[in-house]
Amino acid sequence: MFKKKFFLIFFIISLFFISGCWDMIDIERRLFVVGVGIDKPSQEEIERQRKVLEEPENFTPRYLITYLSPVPSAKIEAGGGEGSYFTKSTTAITLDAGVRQISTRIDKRLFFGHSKLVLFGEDILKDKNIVLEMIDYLQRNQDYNWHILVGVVEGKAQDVLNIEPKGAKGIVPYITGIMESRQETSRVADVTLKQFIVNLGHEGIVALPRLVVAPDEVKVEGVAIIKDFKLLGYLSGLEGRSLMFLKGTIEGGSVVIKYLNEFIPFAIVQADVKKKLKVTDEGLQLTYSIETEGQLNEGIYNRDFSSIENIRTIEKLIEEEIVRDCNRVIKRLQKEFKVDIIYGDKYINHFHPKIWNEIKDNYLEVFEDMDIRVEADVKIRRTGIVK
Amino acid sequence: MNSNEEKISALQLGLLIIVTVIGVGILTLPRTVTEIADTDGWLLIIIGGALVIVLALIINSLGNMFPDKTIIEYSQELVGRPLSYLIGSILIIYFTLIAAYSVRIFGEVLKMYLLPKTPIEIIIITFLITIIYLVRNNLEGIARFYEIIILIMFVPYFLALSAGTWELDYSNLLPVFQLSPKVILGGVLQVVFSFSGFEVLYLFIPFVSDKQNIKKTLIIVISIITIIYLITSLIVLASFGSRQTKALLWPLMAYIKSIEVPGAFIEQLEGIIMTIWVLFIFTTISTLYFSSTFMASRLIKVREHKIFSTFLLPLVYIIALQPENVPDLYWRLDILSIYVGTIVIVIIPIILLILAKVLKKGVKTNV
Repeated sequence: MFKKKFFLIFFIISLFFISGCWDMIDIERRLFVVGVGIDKPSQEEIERQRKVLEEPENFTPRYLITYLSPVPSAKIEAGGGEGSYFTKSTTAITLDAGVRQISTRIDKRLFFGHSKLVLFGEDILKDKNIVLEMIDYLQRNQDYNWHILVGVVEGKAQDVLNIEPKGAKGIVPYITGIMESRQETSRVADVTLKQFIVNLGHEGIVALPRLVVAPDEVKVEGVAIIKDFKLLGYLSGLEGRSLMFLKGTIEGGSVVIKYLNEFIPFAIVQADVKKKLKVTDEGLQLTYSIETEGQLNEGIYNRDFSSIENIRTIEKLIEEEIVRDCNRVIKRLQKEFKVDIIYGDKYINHFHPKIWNEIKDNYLEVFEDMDIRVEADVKIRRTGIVK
Repeated sequence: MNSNEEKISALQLGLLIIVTVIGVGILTLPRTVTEIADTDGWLLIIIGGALVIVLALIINSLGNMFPDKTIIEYSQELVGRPLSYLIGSILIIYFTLIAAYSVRIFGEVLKMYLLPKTPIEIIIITFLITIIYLVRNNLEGIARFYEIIILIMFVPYFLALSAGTWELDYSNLLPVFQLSPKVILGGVLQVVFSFSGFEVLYLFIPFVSDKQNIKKTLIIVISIITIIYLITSLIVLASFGSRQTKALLWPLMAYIKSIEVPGAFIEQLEGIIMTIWVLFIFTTISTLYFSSTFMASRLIKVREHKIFSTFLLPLVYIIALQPENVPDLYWRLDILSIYVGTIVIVIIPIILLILAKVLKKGVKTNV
């Protein structure tokens, strides 16, 4: 009996000693990085550092990294607001070295497990090797969640992270909020780190959301096109909508048409795209059939939408508008950018493997001259609560 | 033989096979099959599973010809004493090495995702000590432990897997049937190795009380494993596409890491999965470790296997720490599977069965 008690007490006491853990970090010692911005350092900064460095050719910084974190002591009851986030920037040779450098200026350990956003400045995306390095870092590092959102800033990512937006908690929830509002607008697409990496593949072709900086706000609109791991150019918000129609990722937003000299917006409720490949004498013919349904929320006072013929006419006009926009974007992609970001390659690979095996080595050349057609089928399901 | 001491049922044997086979292999399986057969990997898994059923049935019929005998004893009758010692030693070394490398993979995964600063030596040694606590029991005790644990393993596993299915792109599974038969033949053996663990049947068949049910149980159990492998591989492939699946070291962990639960009140499922993962590896290594010690005791004709389980600990520990890095570890595991694995899983059972038929040894059974 005594023996039993002795062992019980012994085991309970030993629990306190064997729980020593190498990986214990108090939560106060962690700094949760919610947003990371990666830029190219400015020329003056590089010059300045070159003068003080011992081996300037090997140790010239190549990155300007900005980390955005919540201030740990920020008042919680105030619900955030101004001053609840702060940024720290550093220049570094590699992204990992940036973390080490910032550790000399912060008394906490950076933690990326809860990061929400990674932004690239447009300058840093112009060098292929650097892009390859960044992707590998984000992919290999086990700390990063793969559903972080990614975006390209037209300008500097640092400037975006330094903004304190009005009417929002902080810049990162603000941007991710906009990016995720696909139900509301068709001009924004969100891309997660996983989609980014998976789409890049070997050819390095991907479309990322574009951010435009204004004095105290940010606009997320349009698409940045990356080809061969380099930034190639931008599509506008309207072109972004056509792109999403073609990719089949559209979930909301509207198409505005002119009907009897009045502007009528068609609110997209859902959309889908089907592709079909035909081999003709001239080559390959790829047809995108867009099917979408939605409703009319706005017309003009006393205009009667209730006749079926009127609805048909409006549907026809919307179809023409969508097809015209899509064709314009396809033309730009084929002739100007020479990239396929509308998943034509994926479709041919998955559904026509024999044809794919013939063309896969010079697919981009084939894509350039491919006969791509767009069809649209619009259904207006509802016209609001008046006749 | 002391076979009336401990008896397990055919069902318990089946559960033991499930928890033993599913272990470290499932981490890399989606990559392995995608590397060999691209989007047709699922076909390889099915063919591999069918082949494993055949091999398992061969081992089973050997066990039925010599009831109450493990491979150590019946190989003596068939190939003579020296060769049977050789077979026994190969099996012991094989089980020990696989157990050791599995411990190392477990340590590496845990260190990568959960405990980056904890020394891997500590992870391995504490894990092994826990395993020894289990394998000092007899077979019946271990089988009962597995019976309890199996639901705790698989229910959360499937919940976690299905949490990400809403954002899969199933067109990534296409195209299908692009394979040449040559690729299938070349790759199927590698898939068979991902089922390794079922060869503990060599030892445990004599201890089953209802031998007439073993055949049926084995077919069902290996089919279940094949289906689990199939679902896992298909989900991972649909999530990443074949190109990215090939690039990932542990595609399954990457998939779980990339899951975003709709509603988002819970994030980073890999923490939960790692906890369950410990059980998967624990059961695999326990069985292999037990088999190793049990065979050693049979070979030297010692009744107690417990003494060996303590002796084996430093050995497994040292072997586990031998590989210098993760690529080296997987290279060693590949070499082991290809050379020793082929002998143990394919060559030994077929030769023994042929010998038994030709020499007309053993008991005639109609099971």
